[in-house]
Amino acid sequence: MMASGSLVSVVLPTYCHAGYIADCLQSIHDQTHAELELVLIDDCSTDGTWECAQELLSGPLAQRFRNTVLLRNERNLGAHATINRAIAAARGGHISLINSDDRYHPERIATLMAALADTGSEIGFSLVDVFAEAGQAARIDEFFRLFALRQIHAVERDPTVGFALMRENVAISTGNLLFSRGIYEQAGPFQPLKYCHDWDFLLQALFFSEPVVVHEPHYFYRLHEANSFSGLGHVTPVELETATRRFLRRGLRGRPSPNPLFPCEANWPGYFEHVLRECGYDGHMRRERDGAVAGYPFAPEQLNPCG
Amino acid sequence: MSEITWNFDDLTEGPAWRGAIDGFNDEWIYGWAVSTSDPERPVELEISLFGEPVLSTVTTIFREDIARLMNRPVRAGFSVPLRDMSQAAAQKVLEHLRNAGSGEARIADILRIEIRGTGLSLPCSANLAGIDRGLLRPAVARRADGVSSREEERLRQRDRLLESTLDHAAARAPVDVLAFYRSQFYPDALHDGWYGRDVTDWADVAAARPLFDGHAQPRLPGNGGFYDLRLDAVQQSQIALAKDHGLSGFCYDYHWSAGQARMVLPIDRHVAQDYDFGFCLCWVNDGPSRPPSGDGGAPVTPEQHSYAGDNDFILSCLKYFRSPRYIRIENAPLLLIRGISSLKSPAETIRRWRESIRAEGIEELHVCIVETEPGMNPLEYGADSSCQYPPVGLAGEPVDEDICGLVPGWQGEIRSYADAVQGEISRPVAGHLRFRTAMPGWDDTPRLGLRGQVFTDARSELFGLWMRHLVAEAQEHLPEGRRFVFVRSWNDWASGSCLEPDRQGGTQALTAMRDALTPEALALAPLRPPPAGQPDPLAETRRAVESLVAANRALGALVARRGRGLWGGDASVFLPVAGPLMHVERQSDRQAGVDMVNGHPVKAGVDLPVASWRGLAMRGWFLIGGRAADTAMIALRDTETPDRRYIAAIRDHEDRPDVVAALALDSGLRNFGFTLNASLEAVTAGRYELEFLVPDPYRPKHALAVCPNIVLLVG
Repeated sequence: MMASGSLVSVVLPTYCHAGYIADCLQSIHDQTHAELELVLIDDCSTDGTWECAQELLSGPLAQRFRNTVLLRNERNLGAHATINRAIAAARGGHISLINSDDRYHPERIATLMAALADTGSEIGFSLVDVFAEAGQAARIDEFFRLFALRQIHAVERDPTVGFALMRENVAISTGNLLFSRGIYEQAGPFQPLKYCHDWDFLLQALFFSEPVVVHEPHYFYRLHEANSFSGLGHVTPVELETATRRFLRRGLRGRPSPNPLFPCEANWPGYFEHVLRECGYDGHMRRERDGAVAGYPFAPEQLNPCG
Repeated sequence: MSEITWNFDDLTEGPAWRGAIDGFNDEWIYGWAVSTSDPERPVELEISLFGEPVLSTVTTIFREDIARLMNRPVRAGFSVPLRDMSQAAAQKVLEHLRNAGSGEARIADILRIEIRGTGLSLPCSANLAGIDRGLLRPAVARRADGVSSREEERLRQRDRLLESTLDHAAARAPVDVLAFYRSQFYPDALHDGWYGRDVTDWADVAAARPLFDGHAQPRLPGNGGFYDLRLDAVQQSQIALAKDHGLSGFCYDYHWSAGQARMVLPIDRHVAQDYDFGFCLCWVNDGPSRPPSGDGGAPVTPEQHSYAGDNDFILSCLKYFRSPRYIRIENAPLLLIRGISSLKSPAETIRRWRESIRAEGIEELHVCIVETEPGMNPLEYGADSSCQYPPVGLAGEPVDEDICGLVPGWQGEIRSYADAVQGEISRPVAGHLRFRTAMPGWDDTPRLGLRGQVFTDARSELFGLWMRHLVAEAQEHLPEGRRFVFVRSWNDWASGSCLEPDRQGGTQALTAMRDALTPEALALAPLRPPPAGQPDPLAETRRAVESLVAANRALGALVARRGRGLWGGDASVFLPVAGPLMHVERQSDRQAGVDMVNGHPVKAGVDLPVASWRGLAMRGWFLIGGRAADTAMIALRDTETPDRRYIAAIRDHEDRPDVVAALALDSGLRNFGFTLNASLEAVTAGRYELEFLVPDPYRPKHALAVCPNIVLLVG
């Protein structure tokens, strides 16, 4: 009841995807979940994406939405700030993100909302169907091959989704996230991390709510020239350290996590230590422990540039 | 010469013995051996160390694991203390140890255990690797020097004490679960005459048909098949299975009327064989309340009860009450009665019973009435307690209108199991002594056809939840010695309520029940949260205990998956993968080989049995397009439904110079061999073809497959 009736804001940050935006908007339009708001925000595209989106949304496509918000940044702000600005403008109780070059499965929002309602979770994602441009015959980066299958194995490897997320971002992309406004207010906003802002957000949200994974390929991730080599190889170690230590710090704060399954020593005595070492986070943990004991003498929030 | 194995999948294969060495340390050598042709006979074993005969022994120890695999109570285990070695033998062994120096020795190299007179020796268990010679030496040296008799005596005393601890270690569970047990699984002329039919319940079970969309009928028995209770072995294995899953006893249906007992074969056998398992009686005194399905016999008139007749009944129970296995409450045998209200003045009858059996030397009697109608109070009948009898009195409205495809003429009732469980969990505690009862499911359409009652979606998790609640309530509200929970029932197949494994769900219901009785579940039971709105002083304790339980379970799963500890290499899991998630393209080349599956060499063209609890350990190699693959997976493809696959990731690669040499391959080929150690827990029983998969480098959802032409029978 709550699931089908509540307003979901689809947040669509666009940047230089003029060729794909129509596809993307159509897949949002085709959602079986009735109550949708569209918040499109352009981060100063230089290829006519903004004009294209305006054009598309001046027609019948826009009538499907309870409300449509079109925003444009005055200067290029980057993904994290663009998303934060769009969420601030959104009115729905839940936020569903999408990348402007990707597509939704028609049942995506309905299924995820039902999964959230069933489990009481506040954040969810689905399996990812990676698709290539028609006629493309280029070699695909290893990272994207049989992606959904590898997601299943990554999620099932551990006793909880949280531990799978602790190892790596099994959700793959911001576009694959649907979450409640409440959890965004607790765990957000998205931090100024170029590659890791989505993983960081998931790890922070994990403290409050155990994510739910819909075992259907409901997010279509497009492979094209611009992203096909963007596996995790490009992520800087500093970004990884930031996200990891912010996550470990949550568990060390001494406050019981609202999510009883959150991976930390208090919730998983013994087992957490084991996974921590498997992930190679022991060094980060040592530093965080020292910091916790010493009361964070070195700028406690230096790892949280925004807040 | 073929060798002894521990393979029970085919008992006719290879030598007529099975066995293994399970352990060898500085004190003991132990393991098991059994003859496949004559399993009850003890096996004589000769033990040599470094080729020197040092000890001999006979298998005398009851090993539950082997007994279960053999399906009989064989005494297959042996265990010999090193100090039983003669001084002369010890001196020879010591000589070898001195020559060999210190360090780790492979057990298989130094220890040999032969079956006397056969020249055949036992293999070492898979997890038995080596022994430190430095550890062994002092133990043998002590023997070689001749240990003082005082020391010897001390050691013997220690072993005696340890052994006696073993015997009495099985402490009684704080909550006893009893399951109602139905006897109608063998022909009994007397009973058939009474009920006007000459068939067992199996006829109804097998003849059942689905009556609406999604109606899971016929529901057929699992590995036990359509058993016949005339066989001793059937009841034996039922008891073994029940004990294994934490049941404390059976509550046998006791058919007694008109001065005659019927269908008592299993009860009599329980007493005669003195099975190490509790039991009690439930007098089935409500007669055939509904006519049997199909052509009934002559209509049965309800029995006329008299004090004298009912006195005969209680006297007929005495031989059971006298069994040491009979379940008692403070020394009073527990007797359940179904149909109490048909007795002539129940209170007076029960009073006379007590007198009557006291004269026979049984001081007390605990009468528990079965609630065949909602709201029955034992005190009104002069009884001591009552016991629920679901589906009688379960909550929940019929959901027939939500059901599609109901057959015409349906007069029965369809209800939701989840609603029933919900209702039972929120049921207030009774004012009198009342034993709660859970049922793993209910569907009596096999017996009643169109007039049946069905509880839909009876999932084992819900049953587990129900059981956990009842166990918790018993711990909290029932006095010690009276903490019983009932299950209806062990084997009421024709009512669709049974714990016994069936073909679809296997042992799910039993496992769910056992989980409700684990020490963890019992520890959490008194920590249940208070009703909503009330302060919860135990919140932190519960959180801590729950965390410990969850972490320990996760660690346990890791250890189990990885065999030898946490860091012994990374294991995989076979997971179901839906067809649309990937497209598999078979390659025509067959450059693949499997050397070993679970320690056995692989024969092409022969279906290879694999026990799913054991998992799949495999070593092999494959090439795709003549090259090694960095990312690779192994698929089990269902030969019946070829679109259905279970897939595990290969995590360990290795070079295979032997294959390169044997097949004259390019000597630059590296890393095309693999070892796999994967769990089969998620795999349903079936016949599966093996495939090696690598991701297609050009199409994101395609996998290329090479088939080594090997078929596994997972079960």
